[in-house]
Amino acid sequence: MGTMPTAQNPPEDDLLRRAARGEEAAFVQIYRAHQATLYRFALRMTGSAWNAEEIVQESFMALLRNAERYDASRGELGAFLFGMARNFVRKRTARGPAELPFADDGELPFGTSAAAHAGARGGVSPAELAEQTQRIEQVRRAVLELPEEFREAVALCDLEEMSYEEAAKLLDCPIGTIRSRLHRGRALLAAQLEILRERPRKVVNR
Amino acid sequence: MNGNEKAMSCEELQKLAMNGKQPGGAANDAEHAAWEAHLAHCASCAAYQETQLELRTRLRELAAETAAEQAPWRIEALLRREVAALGPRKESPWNRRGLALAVLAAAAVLVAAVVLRQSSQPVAPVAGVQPPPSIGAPPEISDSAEAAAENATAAGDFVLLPGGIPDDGDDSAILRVRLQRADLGSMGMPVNEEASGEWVLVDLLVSADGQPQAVRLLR
Repeated sequence: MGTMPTAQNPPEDDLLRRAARGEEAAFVQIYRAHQATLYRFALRMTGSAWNAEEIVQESFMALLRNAERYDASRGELGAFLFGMARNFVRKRTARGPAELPFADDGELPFGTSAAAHAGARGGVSPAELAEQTQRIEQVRRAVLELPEEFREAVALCDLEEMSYEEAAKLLDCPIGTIRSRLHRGRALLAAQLEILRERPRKVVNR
Repeated sequence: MNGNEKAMSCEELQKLAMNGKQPGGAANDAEHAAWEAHLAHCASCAAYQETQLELRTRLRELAAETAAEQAPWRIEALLRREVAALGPRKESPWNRRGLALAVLAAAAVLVAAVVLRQSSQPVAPVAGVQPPPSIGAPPEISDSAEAAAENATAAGDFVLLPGGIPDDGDDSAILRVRLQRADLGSMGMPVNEEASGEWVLVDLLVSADGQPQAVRLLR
């Protein structure tokens, strides 16, 4: 998530100091570099677009209020920001299980509308589209039911497609821990999805 | 396998999988060969492999669905306003403290002006600057009074602040500032209580001694 500082990309600690003093341009540069990844992480962890928006807003507000606590020598700004976001995610998920809300207008949860659009573009039949939508929804629910530490690893490595190293930096843990959590998270997902399969898998002795 | 490679156990295969190595991925040729040979003879690992491949496919589907998600623009707009509030007013020397001092100074000038005007001739109106409705009387905070002030400023004219002294010389300056309607009220302008927290852009006509004398509301 970090970039080499240049004249066009000043160091992030410098940008943060300027943003904390009220310089909008500096803040916008930080915000646009990190907001999408942060939003998707919060969305995949909580299952709620509304919660994800709140978490992004709260995280950047906390960043501005605690700008003096950031030490560039200890890690990248993205990791510092992620640490705050994780705390806000935990506060929300501690209140209850992850939500799987539908909008009042009957809009499908995140992750399903794009499938409808893709199907319309690719000429996928309604039956295939419905099957694909259901498949995606099953995986989404299974991810939301994972214990938090496994869900984080799956959200970053499998859904955001980060490397083990990138995820370990963001979560401030050893790479081995990421591997272990990802492996166990995938095992739980596989078990959950096996249960949801319409037909049991046939095991053939070769 | 040509018989020389070491046979892979179930635990070794799962360890490779856990470390992200798989055929066609990070596994080297020897690992790949041992892997495939093991799967050919182990039903449970073959089932495990099939499950993992299906899981990866479904996770990639979910990833693709949400890959373009990002925070809506209103979040950026809201945060930018918060950041702007952190800094000093960039274009005007009139920050909130400065305005408070200016109000106190204006109040002192008002007292002096009332005393002076009691013994002076009526002041001729300055072109483009309207005198306050009554001298010495506190402005009434009412919808009609506020609307009247806004109508005057909407016409491009400055409205004299209570106690303000018209100045048709060249020593005046116009400062454009962003402040809350409550600040206008503290300068003696009529303000609707319900809208007191609303931010507005105004021009302040400032005399040579730095005191605001009149205000023009910008739309």
